[in-house]
Amino acid sequence: MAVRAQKAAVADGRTADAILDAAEQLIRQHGMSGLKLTAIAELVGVTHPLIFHHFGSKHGLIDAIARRHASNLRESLVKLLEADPHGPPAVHLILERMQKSLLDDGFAALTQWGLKQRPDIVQPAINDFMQKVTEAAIARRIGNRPDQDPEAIRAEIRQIVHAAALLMWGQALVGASLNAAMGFAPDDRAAGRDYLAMLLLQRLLST
Amino acid sequence: MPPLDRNARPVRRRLAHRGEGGDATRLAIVEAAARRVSLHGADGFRLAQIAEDVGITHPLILHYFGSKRGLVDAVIAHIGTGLAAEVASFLPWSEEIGPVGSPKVEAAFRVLSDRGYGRLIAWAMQQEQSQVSKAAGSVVEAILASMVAFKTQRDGAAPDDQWCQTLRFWVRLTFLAAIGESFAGPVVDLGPAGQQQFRVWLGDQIAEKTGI
Repeated sequence: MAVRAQKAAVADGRTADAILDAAEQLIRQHGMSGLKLTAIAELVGVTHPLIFHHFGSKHGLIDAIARRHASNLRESLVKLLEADPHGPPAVHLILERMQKSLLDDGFAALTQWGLKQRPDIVQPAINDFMQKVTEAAIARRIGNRPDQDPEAIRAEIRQIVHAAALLMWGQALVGASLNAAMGFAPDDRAAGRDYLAMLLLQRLLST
Repeated sequence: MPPLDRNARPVRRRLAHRGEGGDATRLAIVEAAARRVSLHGADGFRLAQIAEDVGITHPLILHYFGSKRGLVDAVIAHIGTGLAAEVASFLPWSEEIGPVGSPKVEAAFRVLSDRGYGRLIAWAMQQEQSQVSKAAGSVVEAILASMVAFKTQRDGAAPDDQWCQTLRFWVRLTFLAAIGESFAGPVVDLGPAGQQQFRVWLGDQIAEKTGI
């Protein structure tokens, strides 16, 4: 039964995707040490050599995961900057969506893994992501406050997006246990973001 | 724990394995393991490579620590001691922050990001969740308590809850951002000067929000 399903999948090319899905899942769960070919094969229900058949080698598989993650990063960027009914997204909404992309389902763990394995593929995607987010927030802010010095706005928004990104990164990696130890609810991922959003709304945004 | 120099190449040392050399070897093994983890995260924790750094054989590590787990526990204890010593330099709180940044914020980034303690803490949390996060939590609590004591003494009155919450938020932000930076490096490419500016900016924000 399994063999027939597997052959059908090979025929229409779905196995390669299933292998990538399984590999990602393992990295999300176990971080750097998650990528074990036998574990992937077991998850997908195929034999270990079939992975080589599709990706040539472990390096080939790592390449494919990194490339897919880079393209996912670009895709989530598009969603992040998607206009809402009232026009371009407000800065706090951008931060909120950024938090969602970075924290959901071990996305940070996967990005971390990709940065280490194939920085040449993943780093440009990350740089692009951060740069476009920053530019969008700056554009929104300058549009809202024509009375303020655009250079000063640029400098401050850069720092705030940077602070938000590092906060989210740290939160994704050690946040839950630290929250608990510091008297925040263990799942209080939003506390930092909300405060930053408030800061932005109060001090930087006039809508 | 001596300061971690993340750029230093592992030093190979020949050590006496018997008699009085034992403690030195144990310490060298633990330091080599910590250096590996601070550079490479969990992937760095490989007995064969750690043994190579120290210039001993792999089985000798097991002789000293019983098992891989035994070494993990020793490294975690070592990180805890090192972190406690670093934190002592923050206490008692005795200075105003800002207006041009904060030496304390910069020190926090130096310890957690530049010197790799952020990676060590994250790794340790993966190994032994409750123990390490409790220790990290109490480190942050000690710094908070010291800042509250400073403000109380300066103002002649205890700060209100709102102020304490704000302080708690900013100290947590600094801690998490420094750990985040130790992994992701400058996420927004600010350049070295920009990175320094960011630390100053963060210090200024804390000064503005908390008034100390």
